[in-house]
Amino acid sequence: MDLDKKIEKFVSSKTFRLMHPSLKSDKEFILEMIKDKPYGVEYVSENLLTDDSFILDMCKIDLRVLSNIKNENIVEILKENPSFAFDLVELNGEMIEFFSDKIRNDDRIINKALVQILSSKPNLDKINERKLFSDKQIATFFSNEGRVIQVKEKIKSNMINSINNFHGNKVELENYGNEILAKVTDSIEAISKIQQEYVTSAQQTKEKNEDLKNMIQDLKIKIQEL
Amino acid sequence: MSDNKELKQKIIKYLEIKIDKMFVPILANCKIK
Repeated sequence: MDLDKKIEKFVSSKTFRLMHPSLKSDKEFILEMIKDKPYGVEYVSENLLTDDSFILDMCKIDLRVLSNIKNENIVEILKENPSFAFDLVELNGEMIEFFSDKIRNDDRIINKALVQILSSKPNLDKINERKLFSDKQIATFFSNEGRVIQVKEKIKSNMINSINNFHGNKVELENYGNEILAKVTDSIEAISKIQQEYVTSAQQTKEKNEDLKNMIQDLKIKIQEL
Repeated sequence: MSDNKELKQKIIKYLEIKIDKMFVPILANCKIK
């Protein structure tokens, strides 16, 4: 390691702890600082950390900020904050994991999280590997046409943004268009697969219920005959 | 640049139609009770 790097390492390891109190409450400075070092949030003033909109601003820069807040009281309050949850899952649906059971069962937040995950994750086979949602929650999501349309529109707007922000010549642009098509196709096929699983299991449950109903009906008739 | 702008619009239109088509069976399946 050359001397410059050693000095840089030394400075960054000391910077946060030795930070002047005025800087600990300086929003502009903090937002710039956490771009490289999200763990620096540990040294941000408590006053700033009680401002959930500022925490959201930091999360927009780096989501790891949240797991680096060491003040347990602040973390507990955030875990119960529905409006913070609503905004955070829009950035990353999997962040629903951070919140309390009450928030994790809030339909409005579940749906927002699922729209975000389904519209941005190419490998959806593992969407529920971490058990972020119950089977019932996913089944309910896929039973609602409006929400699926939301996913479709989000996929489209992500695609439009990517194309519009692409810089390159004609050939590169055409290749990029094909790349996006491949990703979008993978994503949509995965959505279809997940949905199919829930449709099938819902149908099986329905059939089982029908069977049970018929069995009870038969039993009732037999009892009456006795 | 203007060529690219036109090409971008064409690609976007093409992909939008593709996405709409791919979602037809998914939307048709939105009937889980």
